[in-house]
Amino acid sequence: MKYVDEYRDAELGQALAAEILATVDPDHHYKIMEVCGGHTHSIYKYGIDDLLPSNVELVHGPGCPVCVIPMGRVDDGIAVARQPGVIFTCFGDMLRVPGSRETFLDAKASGADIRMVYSPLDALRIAKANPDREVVFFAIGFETTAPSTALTLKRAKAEGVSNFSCICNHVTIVPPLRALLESPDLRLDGFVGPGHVSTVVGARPLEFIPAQYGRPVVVSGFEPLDILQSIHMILRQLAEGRCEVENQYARVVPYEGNLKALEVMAEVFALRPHFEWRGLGFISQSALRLSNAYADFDAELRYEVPGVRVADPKACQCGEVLKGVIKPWECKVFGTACTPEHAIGTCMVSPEGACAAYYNYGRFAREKAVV
Amino acid sequence: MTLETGDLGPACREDHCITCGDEAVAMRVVKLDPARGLALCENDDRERTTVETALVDTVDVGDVLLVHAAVAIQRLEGAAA
Repeated sequence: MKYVDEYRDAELGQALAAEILATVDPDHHYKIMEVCGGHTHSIYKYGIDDLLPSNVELVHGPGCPVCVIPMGRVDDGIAVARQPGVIFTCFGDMLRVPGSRETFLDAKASGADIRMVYSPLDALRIAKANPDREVVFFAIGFETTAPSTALTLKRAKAEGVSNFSCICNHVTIVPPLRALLESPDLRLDGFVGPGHVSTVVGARPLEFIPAQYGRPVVVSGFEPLDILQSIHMILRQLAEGRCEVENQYARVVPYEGNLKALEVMAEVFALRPHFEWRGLGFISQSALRLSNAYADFDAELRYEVPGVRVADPKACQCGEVLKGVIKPWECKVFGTACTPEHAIGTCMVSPEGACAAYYNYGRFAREKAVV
Repeated sequence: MTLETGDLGPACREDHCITCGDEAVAMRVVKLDPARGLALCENDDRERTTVETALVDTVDVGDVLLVHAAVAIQRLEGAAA
């Protein structure tokens, strides 16, 4: 299919790897963060880091929607799911994320009516098909997913579906990036910018990174050649002394984003004053709640939720992984107590999480390299 | 013609939930239901799903849409029909 095959060509990949090698300064150690979990997944799946010179290090960022949900929010969701008469809906990977005592899957096994959906529109359809039940949707995701929740709530309001509500955990990408850039223990040379988030918000919101922090950003697609080309573009900016936002994914991402999606989001959501991110702590204005016009659909107002902050398990180092301070395999429980089957931390639950991606695709290569 | 949103699409038969993964999939429009703002779309494997088109400008049969969580978030210009 156009947009896929030509971005997986092995010969072009080798040629790009040679160009990257020719661009780097051999005396400098480069650290480049890929913000988006989808990029992390592709990097390990296609072995992109094996094509890079040893002095170009990829650091995995916080852009995995599942990985950043704190345990307290999972507990809140489970408390609502256990209310009599409730059908609780959420996306698939979220089902396996541990709360303080159990996951949504555990709660389902012990009797809660919890169903997996692929779109919030599926949750609304369940509500319309079950008018005598209350249907709650546990919304997660960055700006890529938020428009679909907004559109669903608009539709629910227009159709007068009163047995539908939403626990809104949508987060925004810019505040955690700013928090990372302010972090004293992190030295980064540039960013592979998020592709699908930028489809909605555009590349413009990333301009603060070169303007205020002096780091280049290249918005990237998700195919192997996309990522290699983006890394090359970042290295070329550094070599030429430039520092700006470039759009490698221009075939999909308009610089101004999707204005219709932004309008719908502005109508349905409002910024929360602060929100807890797993491993990163509280970040101001980094998440969305339902706007006053949609308060009737806010499950946090409709139900009593514990709202208790729960500290991450001591053994878990997801926070350091999400900040790129340590590599997944440097975590004490990686691959032993914490595996995709029995995850302690969220980074191991979601395949976009750096730990799961490395566990599934990368660990054998590393073992070989160590030997 | 009536289209319904919803059967769990190809997204959920992957090894992970692509909605959680912030992934979007290029899908070709096969049929339109303009009154309800819906399009029946298929991916490269000819698997079909119903897609909301409210967030993209005019859509025609043969267009390629970037779809996330059953919502088109962008139309891909110049894609092969």
